[in-house]
Amino acid sequence: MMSSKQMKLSQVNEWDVIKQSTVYKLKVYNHIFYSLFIYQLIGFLFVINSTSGTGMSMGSLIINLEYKTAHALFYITLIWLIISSAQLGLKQSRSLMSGVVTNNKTHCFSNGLLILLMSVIGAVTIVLLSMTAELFLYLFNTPYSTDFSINYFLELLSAFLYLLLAGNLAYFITNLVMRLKLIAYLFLFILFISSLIPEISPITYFYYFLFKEMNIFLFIIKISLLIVLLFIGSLAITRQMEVER
Amino acid sequence: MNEIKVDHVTKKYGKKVVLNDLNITLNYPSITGLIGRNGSGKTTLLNMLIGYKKPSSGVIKVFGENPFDSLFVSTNTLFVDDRMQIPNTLNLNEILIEMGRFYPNWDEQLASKLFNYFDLPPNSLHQNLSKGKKSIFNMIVGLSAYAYFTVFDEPMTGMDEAVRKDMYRALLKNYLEKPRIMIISSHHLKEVEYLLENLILLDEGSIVFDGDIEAFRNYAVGLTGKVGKLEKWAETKDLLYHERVAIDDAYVVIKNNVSQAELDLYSQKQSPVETRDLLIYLTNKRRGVIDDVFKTDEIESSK
Repeated sequence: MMSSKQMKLSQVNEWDVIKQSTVYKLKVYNHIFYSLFIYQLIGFLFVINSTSGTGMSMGSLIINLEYKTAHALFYITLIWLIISSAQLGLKQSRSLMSGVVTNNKTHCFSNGLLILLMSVIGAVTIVLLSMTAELFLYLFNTPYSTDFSINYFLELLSAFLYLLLAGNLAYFITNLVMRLKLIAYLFLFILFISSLIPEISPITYFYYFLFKEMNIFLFIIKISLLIVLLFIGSLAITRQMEVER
Repeated sequence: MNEIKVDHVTKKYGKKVVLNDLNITLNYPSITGLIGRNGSGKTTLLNMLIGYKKPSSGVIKVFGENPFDSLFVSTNTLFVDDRMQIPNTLNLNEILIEMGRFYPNWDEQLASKLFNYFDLPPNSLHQNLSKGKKSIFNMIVGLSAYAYFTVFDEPMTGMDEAVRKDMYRALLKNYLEKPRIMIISSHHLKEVEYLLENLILLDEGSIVFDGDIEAFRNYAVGLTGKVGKLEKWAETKDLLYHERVAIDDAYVVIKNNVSQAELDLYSQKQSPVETRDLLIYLTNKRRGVIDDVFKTDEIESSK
């Protein structure tokens, strides 16, 4: 009787589960992408309504430079990505996956893919909205000149890399706070104390290491290295995590 | 390889011992009832078998692997309970489709038939269902996934009598269709008893009984007889329960490891013990009975 009904244990491929989990999360966390729309709409309004400026005077000559930048769009997308990535690192996110086939590794990798995808979408929409804002200002014949970059590819690349770095940093810190509270608080305390003395602050080193890099290839290597390190850190922290339900 | 083994497993939360030195084997195929009172450690044990939690000491092997964080174990197991994590951004129909993508043995046709039979609204969100309907949906997932190792932890919570009856029948048919390793955890032994092949009774983190259900039914015997003679003799045996039923008559329940001749000698009447009552006697041993709570008051009020 049993032989015809004998069940077999199923084997799955890790990569298949990661792909399935990513698609599942895209559907479950669809609100993240709706919120991007709201965030960027606010950013867009900032861009077309606000101006940045600088002024100088030489004797009786006063020069005021006023210009519009797409920075607001970038910063607001950055905030969106940080919040969304942090959300993926919460314990509830892991619990949610307990209803389907998963383990900590596939969960972390699918989160990594999701952050990657969010960064791509974030960067592309920043550039597209920058172009739209530029067109908008041109059509309405605004007297202000714009400083939107002509090199859209570089703008896209740098926005993507910064977003990906920020997303991975937010995901790493959330995991650290969730799982290794003591180490996380110690880390943040040391960071705060050292930031009081800029000469020895890791933030200063980080700033020079990354943001002052003029060579594009070195910049890409450095930022990619940091992203990989942060992701490996997240993977290591979550490896022994128990599922809270 | 196909079985589940728990070897000297202890689980502690801080200094509190939740499970104490458990040894269990679950063979393929089998339906095992995991029974115990609230806080007996049932859910903690299930969480470790399914790979959500790590034991503090001891070894657990599920299909030859440590289940903690194992993708292989996760692929072949499903845990159905009222805390099952169902996303609130997908409707019921979409969730069933997603489950089908994850579980290799998923039976779409069965899911659809059960869904229609129990009249669930396909476009509703899980969070908007009543407690009973949520449990029905979770059960549909549990049955349709045909996971090699399926755990049902209090699966019928909130269901009405008619639905419970249907669901137990569905569960049995589902098992007979594709026999596998199933655990049904419940407080209500009477309700699940007829489904079970084996029974594990947990109390305060320890195993009180582990064996086949028939052995549990014959575990104890109820005796009625004269107070002096029966009570005195019963105290020398494994006494599980006693009460005075008349001025000079007593009813005792003892472990059924005594010869028939001896039973005949000390009692006037012998009767089987209801499994539901036996469960209470076995788990009350350490707690006493509710009457003990009022004893002091009675003494003080009589003063």
